[in-house]
Amino acid sequence: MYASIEEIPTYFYKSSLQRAIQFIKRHRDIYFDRIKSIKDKPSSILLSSLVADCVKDEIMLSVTEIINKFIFGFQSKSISIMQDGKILNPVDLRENLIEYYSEKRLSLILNWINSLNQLMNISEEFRFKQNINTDINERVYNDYFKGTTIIEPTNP
Amino acid sequence: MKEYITTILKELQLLNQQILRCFKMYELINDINTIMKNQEQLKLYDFAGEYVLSGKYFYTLEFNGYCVEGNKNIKFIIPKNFPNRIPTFFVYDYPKDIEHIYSDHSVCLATLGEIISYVNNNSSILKFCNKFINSFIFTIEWFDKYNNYPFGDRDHGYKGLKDYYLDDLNLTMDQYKMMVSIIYNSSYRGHNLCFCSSGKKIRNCHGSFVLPIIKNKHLKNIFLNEAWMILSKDGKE
Repeated sequence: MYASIEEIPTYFYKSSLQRAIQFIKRHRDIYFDRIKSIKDKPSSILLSSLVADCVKDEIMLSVTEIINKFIFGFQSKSISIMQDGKILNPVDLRENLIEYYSEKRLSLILNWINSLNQLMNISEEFRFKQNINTDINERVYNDYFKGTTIIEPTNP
Repeated sequence: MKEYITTILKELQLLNQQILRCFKMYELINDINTIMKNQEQLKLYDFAGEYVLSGKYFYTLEFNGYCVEGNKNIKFIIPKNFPNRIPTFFVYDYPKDIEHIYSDHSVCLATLGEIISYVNNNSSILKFCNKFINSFIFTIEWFDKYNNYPFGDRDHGYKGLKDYYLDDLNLTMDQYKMMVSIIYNSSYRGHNLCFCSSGKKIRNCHGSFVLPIIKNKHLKNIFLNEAWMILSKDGKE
């Protein structure tokens, strides 16, 4: 009779899939904030569906492996719910999750995926940690930058 | 006797100016040495009227928790009589779509008005370096990743030059014209009311911007040159 919402369970352990989605969403939020286009960021339901779908037949994957599979799947359009320029809602295949996404928005999403790919492809540990600091969480790996000069902003 | 005292006073004044120049030069060299610290791939050349820093510039810069670390090929020309003359900065590694870098690789660091105002209040090349050069390098790094300007950018040509006076010095176009007239005619009187209609005496208001320009022939020339560009809309009117 009354609409009810199930309580969110308390997780004491987050699976690799949850962690991977958390990482991707954090990178997305920071990237779209910095390109000053927050309204164009891909929705969380879209990302969760894509990431979950690209690893649905796999087990025991690490966080890194899941993120890389998502990047590869998105770039090569090989994720099963990506069909004919649409991204289908896995719980209702009649719904296209990007039906109202403009060309510009889709192009920005692709740029973001490329940026995420660049981050994941840094092989040098030191540089990777520096980039985790700037792209994900400024409170970690602070000491990987030595003798930082705080700049005064000036517009050219 | 009177003539003799006048001559001595004039000589003392000249000596005083020379000491001041030497002191400023000493400060400048000290600052340049500080910049050169840990810059093993940056070379310092001492030419007649200027110092030139050329080579790879290493940096670790931060703004609002965002850090960038790297190096760039640069050339930084510092006139020996800085801050009476304004330095020029060249950069050779940058993303192809970035604006504000001319074809000779010299950089439009900020509007002339902003640079003049800054060097009037900060005579240290170290501060200049941080305010304009490090900030621009940070902008390049940011632009490379996000394809936009972290602190915004000004319009090209007279519009960008004008914006500094209208937005940062809070002047209207008529008030700007009055300021140009005062500088052109060197008709500064500190006790007069300021042209910005604040009701304050000019010495307690925009005088801190106007007076150093009137006193400095070089700054006055570049200010008037810029004023011509603004008032003639880049020479089109």
